[in-house]
Amino acid sequence: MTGPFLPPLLAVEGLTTIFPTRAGPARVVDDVSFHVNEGECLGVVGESGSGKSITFLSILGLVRPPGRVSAKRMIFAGKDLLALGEGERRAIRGRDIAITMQDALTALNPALTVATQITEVMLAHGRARSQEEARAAAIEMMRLVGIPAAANRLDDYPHQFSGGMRQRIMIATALACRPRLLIADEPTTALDVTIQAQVLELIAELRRELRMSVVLITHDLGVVVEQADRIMVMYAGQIVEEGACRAVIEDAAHPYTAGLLASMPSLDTLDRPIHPIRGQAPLPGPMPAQCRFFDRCEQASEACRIEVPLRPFTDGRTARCIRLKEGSHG
Amino acid sequence: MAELLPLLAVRALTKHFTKRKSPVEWLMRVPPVSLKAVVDVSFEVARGETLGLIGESGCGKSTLGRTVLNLHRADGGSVSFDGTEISAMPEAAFRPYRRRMQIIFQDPYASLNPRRSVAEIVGLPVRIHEGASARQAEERAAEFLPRVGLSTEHLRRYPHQFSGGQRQRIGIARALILNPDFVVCDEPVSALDVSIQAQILELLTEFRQQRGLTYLFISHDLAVVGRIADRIAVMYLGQIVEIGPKQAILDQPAHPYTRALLAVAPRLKRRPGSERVALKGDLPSPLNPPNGCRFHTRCPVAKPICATLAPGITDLGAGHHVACHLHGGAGS
Repeated sequence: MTGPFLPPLLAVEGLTTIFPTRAGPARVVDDVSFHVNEGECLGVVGESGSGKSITFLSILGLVRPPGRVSAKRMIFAGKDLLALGEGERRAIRGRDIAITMQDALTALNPALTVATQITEVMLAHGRARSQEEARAAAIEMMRLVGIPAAANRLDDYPHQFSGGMRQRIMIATALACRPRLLIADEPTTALDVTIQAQVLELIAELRRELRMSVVLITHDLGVVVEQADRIMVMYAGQIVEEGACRAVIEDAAHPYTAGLLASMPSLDTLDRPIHPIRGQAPLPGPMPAQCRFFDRCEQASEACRIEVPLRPFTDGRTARCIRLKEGSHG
Repeated sequence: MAELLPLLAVRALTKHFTKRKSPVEWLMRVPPVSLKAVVDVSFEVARGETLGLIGESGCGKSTLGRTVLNLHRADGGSVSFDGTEISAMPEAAFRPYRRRMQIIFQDPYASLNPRRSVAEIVGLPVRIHEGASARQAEERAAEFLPRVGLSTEHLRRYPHQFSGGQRQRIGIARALILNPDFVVCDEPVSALDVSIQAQILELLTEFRQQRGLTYLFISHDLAVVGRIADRIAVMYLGQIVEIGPKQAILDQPAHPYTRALLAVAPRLKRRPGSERVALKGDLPSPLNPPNGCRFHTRCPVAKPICATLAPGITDLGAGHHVACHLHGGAGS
């Protein structure tokens, strides 16, 4: 834990990303505010379409038109990201904030050797002065992420590696500049379970060694439980619950979080009958002015037909549900 | 026991694929390489039972499921369904069995013809196997859709108009409309969001209870299999390394690979770090599997014998079998 007076590494306020759809503008990220502390691992949980990936692509400036990104405040390491030009933004992206994508095979360039891909980012950001220096650093990085015979494999192409190894190479490219914040977008989803465990272990180790902050974006609560200090649950573009990981898992406040937990197959709860959330998440588009989980919530009532704000209710936890009043929970 | 015959009995089933040679390899007369996807696999599934089949990608679990259904021709061994040997049957003679043995595929995006309406997709098995007219088939489809949580208003729509979970419901309707006895569920929930996964698992469980369906449920996720299966078989590089009642596999796993899978399975309670031992290394290439026990290259407790001699099968009692030298398996 960091001291209470240390400013967070990343602080975002009122982030909104809008895409036009046939039905009208869709707020795929809707007034999202959060922070990531130094050295912390924040788990971002949600199902497909919840806006969890777009939130971080928006922060990095990777949302292309017709998508529109706006925010009240976006501070990274004391710098106001909103005030930066594209050039300055680019200097931060890849160097101070790095992202790994879910599908390593698509994210890596199949026509370039891994050496080119790892060294490119170091040379572009001035973290290496020469090809030789960059290559040496790339070998070091590949060793760090656990690729056997790293020096011999530097000139191989992505397709020559297995799925788990490709994910490691992508992590190596992301870590090449020793970023202060690593955004890992579904780093294990495409991988087999035994390989998943290896990659998660690797991220945890690197976090300790390099003192990075990590944002772990995933649909898998099981992954988050093991790794995250805090979690943030997203639904239909909004944060619906946020708090310390243990507290949220043990005693979910929002019915959606509780439903996700009840849906998740886990070896601890085999005796409990399956209790799925009914229906499906709303498609992106204009939303009615009511709780977005309304149609699927078993506890919904007429009182829920208002825009529900995200409110704090107990020590450091917030949730977006009218049934919660300050100090009412836990 | 009332159950005289198992519904499905698989004996020493083997399936090889031959890697196609490149023109260069052909010119240089490189000998053909054969991938042994399923090697000498035996198991039974009782009527009304769900056997969970678990393993990582490339272990041969989907090939096994398809070979059992005669979608791949077996290269050795036998599959007997309801007392009849079906693996060597010509396609025409197999037809009546095909309607009793169905499959639900993993990818609801790839397994539905995008140019056919739901009425056509779900009605097609009725047309093929019962010789129904297009109109009769559509009526049957209309009757059946509500049972998978869809409605008749969906009949005229096309697959792209549905979400992943709804598409999987269409796939389930297509597999179950003929009221089969046996269904291979090949990773039916892996492509779906967590909340939708639970809905589909619940639906499959309901059908099993109502119709006494027998499932071979293939998954890479031990927690999903633990939910739905009565017994579990664990597959590694083309072979079943452990099989037994669910509780025995989950509570007293005998094979080091099963233990490793359990150690990395998702849980909500955080375990002490020491318990989470990740397996080292990747799955070896099935084109060139290790000698001896196929798991020995990744096994944390391998002994010298494991590298040279393939373990035989040890009976641990109560239907629990394991192929591992740790349990005194005699060589085979």
